[in-house]
Amino acid sequence: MNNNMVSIPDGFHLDNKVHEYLNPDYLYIPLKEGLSLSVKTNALIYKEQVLLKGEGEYIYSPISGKVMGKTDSMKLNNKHVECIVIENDYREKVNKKKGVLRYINEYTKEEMYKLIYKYNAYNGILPENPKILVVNGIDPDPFEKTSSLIINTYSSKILEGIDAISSILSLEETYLSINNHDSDNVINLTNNIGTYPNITLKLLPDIYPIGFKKVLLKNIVSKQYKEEDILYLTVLDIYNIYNVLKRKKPLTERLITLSGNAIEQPMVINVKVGTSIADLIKNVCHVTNNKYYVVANGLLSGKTLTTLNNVITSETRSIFLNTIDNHKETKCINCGLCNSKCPVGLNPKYIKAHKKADKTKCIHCGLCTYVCPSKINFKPYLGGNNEE
Amino acid sequence: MKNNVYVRSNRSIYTISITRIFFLLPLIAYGFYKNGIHLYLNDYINIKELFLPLIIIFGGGIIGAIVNIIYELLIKRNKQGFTSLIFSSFHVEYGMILGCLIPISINLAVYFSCMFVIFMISKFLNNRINTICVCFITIYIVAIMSGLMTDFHFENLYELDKQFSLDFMDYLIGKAPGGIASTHIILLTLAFFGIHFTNNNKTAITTSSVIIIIIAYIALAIVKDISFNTLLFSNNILFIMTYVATDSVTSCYTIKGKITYGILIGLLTFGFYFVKPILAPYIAILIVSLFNNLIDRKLNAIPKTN
Repeated sequence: MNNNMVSIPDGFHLDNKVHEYLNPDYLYIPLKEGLSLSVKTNALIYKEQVLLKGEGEYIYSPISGKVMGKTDSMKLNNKHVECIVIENDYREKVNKKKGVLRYINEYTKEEMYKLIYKYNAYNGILPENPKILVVNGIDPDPFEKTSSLIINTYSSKILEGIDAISSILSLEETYLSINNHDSDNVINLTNNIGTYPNITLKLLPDIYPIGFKKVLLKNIVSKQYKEEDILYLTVLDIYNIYNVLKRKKPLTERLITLSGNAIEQPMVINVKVGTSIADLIKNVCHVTNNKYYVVANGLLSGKTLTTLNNVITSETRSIFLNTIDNHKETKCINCGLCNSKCPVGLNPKYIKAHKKADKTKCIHCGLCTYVCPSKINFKPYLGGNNEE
Repeated sequence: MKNNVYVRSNRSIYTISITRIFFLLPLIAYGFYKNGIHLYLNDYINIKELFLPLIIIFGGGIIGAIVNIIYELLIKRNKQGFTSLIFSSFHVEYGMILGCLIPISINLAVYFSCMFVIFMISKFLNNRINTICVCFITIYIVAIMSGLMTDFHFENLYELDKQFSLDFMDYLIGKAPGGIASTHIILLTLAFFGIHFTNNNKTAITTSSVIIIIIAYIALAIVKDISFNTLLFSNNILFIMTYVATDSVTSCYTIKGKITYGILIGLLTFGFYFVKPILAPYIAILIVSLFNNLIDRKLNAIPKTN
């Protein structure tokens, strides 16, 4: 275990309940290159009907309603993106009920992969012949609680999903990692995991950034496994895959943490993919401080959104409404914490002084900025996710 | 705006200084006993002189605070809170460390005036070289040159009056002559672990320098037939390597840099022992601290991106 990582105190208290905001007036589905609209403008569309179609790639409508056409007023990660607008009829009409199809362990590998890709249960490419499955049940950002609440609420589905993937792929090892401070989940899983002897529960300390893929894998997987041997999934991926295998339910909803010091009640909320952040804030949040900024995907590692016209996608983990930290930056005191705490061994102070220095290893966890006693903001010098 | 910061740790110069000073308190308490209470109970000093150790140590801290306030308020026109002004740099800690290292026989006028002037200069120079070392060397030179101190020695009145034969255990419990609050090796070791486990010390510097010094002094003790205990435990060397060599601002910050920095200090301390044993560690730290950035840069150059 890397002793250099940092324990970060809990910032906000979230209740143990998944909230819902599933009925926005309009949804905005970003157009992707290579995908074309499969329904006409002004046509009615069912929930979970194919909206955009490409070669082996499908985007489904999260709601039933009327396809209004295209708009370019929305943004995705602060960049303008053309979106299809769907007006909600609030009926959640589904074309046909799929029901339970078959026992999920009975799929073949090819069938499972095909379903996962078809129903967008996983963003990325799955390894061809994995030997080990690592399931991340730890939220990447210490202020996010999505993974924790997913395990808490859907633990039996998660275990069933992991077991199915493990047996379909005939994996050598299967790990489910959770935070050892997450006592509810530790008790819950240790009581139920006995039914699944092929799953090993890994209790990891509550230190940041243990929830990042690179750091987690370094702490769990032995060196005998190569990168292509490892199938890495989050508990949310498992939940989505379970829904696909069980009901062929495409990914149209997303559990996100909605939190920050500028809202009254932080929560984990289930929202439709394509919901505008402006709608979400207007309809769900009770804002207590109007001087807030909107941050997506983590208070420490996330990105400040320049406008509320951003849309929630399948990759949005959290939205924070938070006031800015007003500490004044002072001269570096040479303490070396930025260097010693960096989980990938970078030297942020050196990189700040030498702009051409290689920073490709950076995982953008923001730990160097967090720990700095001189309150130096290293984020602009480390590039990557935080630069447009 | 896209790189805004929303959460930060509460670590600051204030928390670092306070933690380091906190772990000094047992040493200060022992120093007060050794150079105050014990002397008073044995009728070596009067009631006024009883508190001299505390005046020297905490007076040093107060001088550091005054320098910070004057500089921040008058020069930089900084209007932050009072605590931020006092702890705008490490000078409060420097003052107290210097107080622990200085002999009880020091002339207060020389001590406080030298400290004030050097601290002020170091603030103007952005604290580029090790302030404690410069201050100690200056006090030593001024005290000797001014004739206010005929001999710069570490013994208090009791130690001057008696003849001692010290064994290893005596050194561990602080019976040896030294600075006001720097002699108790057990308490110093506890302080070292305290500041290490709270992440407020560059432990690699202390460890590497002490290892080099121990090796060199063992060799010297064998060759010259000098007591190893005397070599290692005299002249505040272990305290200096724990609290002075690890000064955050003027030492290296990367792991390779810290180890190299410590080794160089150890070697130079041994070298300067033959010139002036009292000043050897200070001169060594002062010289190596001039090159701290260079050491870090040379040892940790990162390849450039194309």
